[in-house]
Amino acid sequence: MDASEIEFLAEKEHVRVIPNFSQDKIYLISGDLGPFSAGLPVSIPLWLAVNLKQRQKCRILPPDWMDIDGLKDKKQEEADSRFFTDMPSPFYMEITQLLLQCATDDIPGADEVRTLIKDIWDLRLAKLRSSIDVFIKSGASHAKLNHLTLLEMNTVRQFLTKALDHMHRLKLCVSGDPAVQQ
Amino acid sequence: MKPLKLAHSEGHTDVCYDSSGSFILTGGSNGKVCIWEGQDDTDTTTVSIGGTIFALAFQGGRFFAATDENAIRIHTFPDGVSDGMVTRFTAPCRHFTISEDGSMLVAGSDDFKIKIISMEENECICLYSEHQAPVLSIALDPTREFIASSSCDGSVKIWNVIDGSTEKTLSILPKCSEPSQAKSLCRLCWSKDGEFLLIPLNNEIFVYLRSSWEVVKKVNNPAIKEIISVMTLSHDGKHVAVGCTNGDMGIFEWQINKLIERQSHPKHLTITSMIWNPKKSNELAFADNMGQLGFLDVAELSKQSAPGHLVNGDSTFGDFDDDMEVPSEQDGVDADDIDKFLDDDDDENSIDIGSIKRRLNPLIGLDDNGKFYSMASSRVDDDKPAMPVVVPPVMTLPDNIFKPTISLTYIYIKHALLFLCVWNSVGIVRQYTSDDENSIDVEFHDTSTHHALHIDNKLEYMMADLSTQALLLASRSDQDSPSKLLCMHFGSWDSHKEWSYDMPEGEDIQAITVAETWAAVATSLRNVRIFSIGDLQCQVFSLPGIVVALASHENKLLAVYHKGMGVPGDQYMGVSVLRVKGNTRSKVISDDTLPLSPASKLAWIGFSEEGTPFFMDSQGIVRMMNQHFGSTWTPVVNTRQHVKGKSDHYWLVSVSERLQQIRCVPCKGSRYPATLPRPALGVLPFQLPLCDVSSEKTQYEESYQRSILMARSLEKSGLVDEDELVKPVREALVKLFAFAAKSEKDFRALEVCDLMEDQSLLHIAATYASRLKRMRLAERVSGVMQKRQEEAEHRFSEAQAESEDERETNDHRSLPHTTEAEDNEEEVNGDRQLSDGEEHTQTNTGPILKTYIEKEIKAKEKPSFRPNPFKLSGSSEKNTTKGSHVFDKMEKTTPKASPIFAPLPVSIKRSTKKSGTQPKVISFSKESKKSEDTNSAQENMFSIKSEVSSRTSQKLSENMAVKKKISAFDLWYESSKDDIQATHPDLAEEDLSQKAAEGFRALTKEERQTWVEKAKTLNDASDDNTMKKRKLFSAGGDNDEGAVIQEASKKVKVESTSVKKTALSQSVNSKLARFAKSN
Repeated sequence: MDASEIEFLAEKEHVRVIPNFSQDKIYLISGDLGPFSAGLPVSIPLWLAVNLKQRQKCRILPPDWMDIDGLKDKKQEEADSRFFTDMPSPFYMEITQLLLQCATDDIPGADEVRTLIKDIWDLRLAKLRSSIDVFIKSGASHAKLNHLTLLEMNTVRQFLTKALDHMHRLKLCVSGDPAVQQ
Repeated sequence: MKPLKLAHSEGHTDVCYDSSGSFILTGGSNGKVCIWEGQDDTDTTTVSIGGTIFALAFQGGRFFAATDENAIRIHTFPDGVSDGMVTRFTAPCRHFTISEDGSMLVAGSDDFKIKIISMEENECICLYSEHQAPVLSIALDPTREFIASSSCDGSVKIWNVIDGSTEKTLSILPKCSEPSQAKSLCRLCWSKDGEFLLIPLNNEIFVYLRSSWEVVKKVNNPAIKEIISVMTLSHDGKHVAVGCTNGDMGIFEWQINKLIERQSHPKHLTITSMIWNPKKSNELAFADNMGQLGFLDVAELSKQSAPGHLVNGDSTFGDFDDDMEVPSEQDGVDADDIDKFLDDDDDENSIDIGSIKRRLNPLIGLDDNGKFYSMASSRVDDDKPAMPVVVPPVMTLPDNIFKPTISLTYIYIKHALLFLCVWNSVGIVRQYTSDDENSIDVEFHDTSTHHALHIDNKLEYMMADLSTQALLLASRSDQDSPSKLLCMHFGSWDSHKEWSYDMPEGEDIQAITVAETWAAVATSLRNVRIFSIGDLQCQVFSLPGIVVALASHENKLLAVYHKGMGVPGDQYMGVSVLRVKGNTRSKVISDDTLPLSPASKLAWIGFSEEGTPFFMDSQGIVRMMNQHFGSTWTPVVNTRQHVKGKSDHYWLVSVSERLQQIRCVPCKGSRYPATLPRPALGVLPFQLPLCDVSSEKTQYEESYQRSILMARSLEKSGLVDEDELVKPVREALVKLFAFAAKSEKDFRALEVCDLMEDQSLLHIAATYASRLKRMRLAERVSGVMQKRQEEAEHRFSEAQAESEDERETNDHRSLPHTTEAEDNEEEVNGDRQLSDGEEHTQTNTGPILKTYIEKEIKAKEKPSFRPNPFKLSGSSEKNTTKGSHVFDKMEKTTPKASPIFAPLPVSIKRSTKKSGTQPKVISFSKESKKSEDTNSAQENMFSIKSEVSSRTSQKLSENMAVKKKISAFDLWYESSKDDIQATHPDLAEEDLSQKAAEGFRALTKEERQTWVEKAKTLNDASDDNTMKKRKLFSAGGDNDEGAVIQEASKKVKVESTSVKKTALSQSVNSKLARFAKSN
């Protein structure tokens, strides 16, 4: 799984938008959307919201968690906690990225939101790296991490699994397992 | 003057004395309160309160400070320990005042609100929110009847303490955008007896007379050149000290317009606060805007100061007179002596005789209203000796004529004003006003309506309304220009997109509205002028009162106007709805009274998308007009239940009845939506305010009442499919019935049945009741059904005569087609049921043939009743399915009813037929001949036994019930009953019949066949009898023979049903549903 696939999953998250057109319900495999009435907020998947926004057909309402004070608190909580904290959305990074790309004007304090999300992301990745470090150094065979988001897992997955695999082989070599030596 | 003392950092500084007059307290922008012991104290005590202190007051051993936390806090004196909070606003409180006895605190804030707080209960007893800009200062009338308040919106409002109704608005002050921009703090003073109100304006003090609220005098002196910012009345009420923006200070003997002292601030800084020493009448403390404290000693006053003239809270007119020892050549103005007043006329040329007369009128004729008011005012301060408070009748009219969907939201952006004019379902109109620009922006929700508009607002339009076709703008008149109306008809297909009118001389537009095809304006001469959208003047008519609001929808115009004087605090508004366009111009509602919540105002009025009038009052209650209940108004939403904070409100935008919701903008800490950032619309559901909302029963009741309300209101509009309307009503009824029945409230359940309008619902109810073993209930429900049936029959017989001929023709024409359809369907159903073994056996039992006969009849009847006005629509039958689904769900919670011996279900079954298609049954009497004919066709039908489903067998039993047929099983049962009873002596009757059914099924086909034949011959005979009886019955006569037959057949019926019940109990519901659907 790569980042674009995760983004695809994230695009299924719903956001509220204010359309500037009126349209009856549209029937999709994933479910019915709408009806759209101009000026009235409606909840639609992110992919559609982004599409409509690009065509200037709607105004996106930022998700509730995307406000500066809340994110500041979240960042503080993340910094204070030794463990990962629960994120307001499992796709917080992706949603922020997508919304800030196409709907900067709809999000109050967009720059600050971007910085805060990036800070939280950095904090979490730092935590992730240090916990992996502890995990490998302790030589444990398994570890449990709560509240990791898909994208965060994905950043380390490829390297970590390969590395663990190699380390396992090396260990076997040291222990002199004939199967590996062959 | 002594040198000034530096107390605080730069900024607004407030000063007050403690009650003994020996301590001085100052509060300033550094958030500290300094306590000075006398004038010469150098070592002050400071209490840190935090933030910035805007206002300070001392009362009863404690001091009160208004801080930038938007709160007024109490601290003990002299320790400064926090002692709680008085109140909180959403913006800083700039000024507050405490009544002399300390029982009442009045505070005004930047959020445009003024609160009166009772200190004993520590709660807000009155909230005044008429100001449209931050409040500058407040003064409490010594008689405690009125409060005067000045605001940045340029008005001084005098309003009633008791109910917060505005007595008078004086728009005399210069407007400013916020308190820090205000040149003058405009502190107001009441004279000692409350008879005069002193308002500083530029370098003068205007003296207003109570009750007429006209200027009777101006106090000025050439020595005071700058704008007077603060003003304070001495404790004896004779002198008033003024402080100017250039640091000039003066003391006037205001009654005779004499400046007795003038001093200047050494550095000519603005004076921000002044206060008299409560014990020394010649000492004054003041503070400037640099945080300095200074004192004034008035030499002139020290001569006359005498202890007796000090604080005298109980002064009445009488002793105020005695206190008048003015050492001047002129006599002071006596507060209630007309002669003296007139004598002074030469000296003070600003006195208006008219106003004096006006003032005296109420004194002469003390009417009921006067009494009422004096009572009301003594309620507030009953510890005081009763004062002769006499006030003429007060009209509680709002000063600003309110327009629907027009608000005044002031947003301060660099000293410019941004108003929100309109926010409706079409778009948003905003007005932007600054020194160099004045424009109107129009934004449409749906960009396909029109692109956004930007209009240069040179003519200063104040009002706007927007529809999908046009934008209507109107301006007020002023000295040299008349009131103007401009319509921008952007929906026009020609090139002339604008038209405008000047109103005739003296006519001022007060409210406007625009619909798709026409526009209306209401003017100050109470005319309503209607224009077509393409600039045709259509109509002019007059309203019975001052217009409050107009609203429009399609061809309906709604006008709200003042009908007269309400009880204090209340508004008395009338509402009329007229059809102004189209062929029928009529009044829909004629001069109804608008039912506002107590002491509230109209906040929004308009039509829902479907065209029903709705309005919201300032208490947040949304009401809708119920045309089916004599145009009464039903509260449908309480927006206050949905707000998060106490000072949050909802700003209504539109209402949708179909979706049962209101769309509104949540406004945080305000009544009006913010313009930046643009708030999103919220949606609130309708909820009727029934008692005990949390209980399940109420929820069902609410849902029923709400659906029926909407269904009634929408059924005429034709916008919504009837199914869509009826469905929720039926569902709610069924749930309500089931809930009542389950909780064993049979009487209530029957009441629910009375609400059920169609028979199919009643049938569901009856089935359900019998399944719950509520026999008595089921019996009564079928009673209700019967009653309905008879009513319908009665009505039918009246209507029948007309429709008979037509029916006959229809009958023949459409018969073949329908029969075919029935058969096809039958096949489909039969196929489906072939797989069901149990049911299949069941089908073989009785005289299935009858079903076909009945079907035949039905097929014939169906088309024949097309023109019948009582015929239920297909939709209701479809809904039967829905209804029974409800039961299916409920079945999970209710114990499944076991087969029971019950005479009732039969009668219920009989009405099943009636229920779906009422008239069919009726027709039995009429068309008995026909059915007899078809009886002879049974033989043919008999061979198609295998096709017959259990569904039909059920129908069969109904059929039997109707025609009193005897089935093969009955015959067999009759004959073998004793045997069975002998073998199973311990069985109860119902179990017995069950046993019998099993036994009968065990018989061989041949054996059964013989019984069937027997039954048939018997039935043919009984058929005739039944028909005879029926004829008699329908003819109205009761007959012994008929009764006997009925009894006999009932007995048989009973037994047959019990058999059927055992076999069918599991699938009856789904079968019924399918049956209903196929019909």
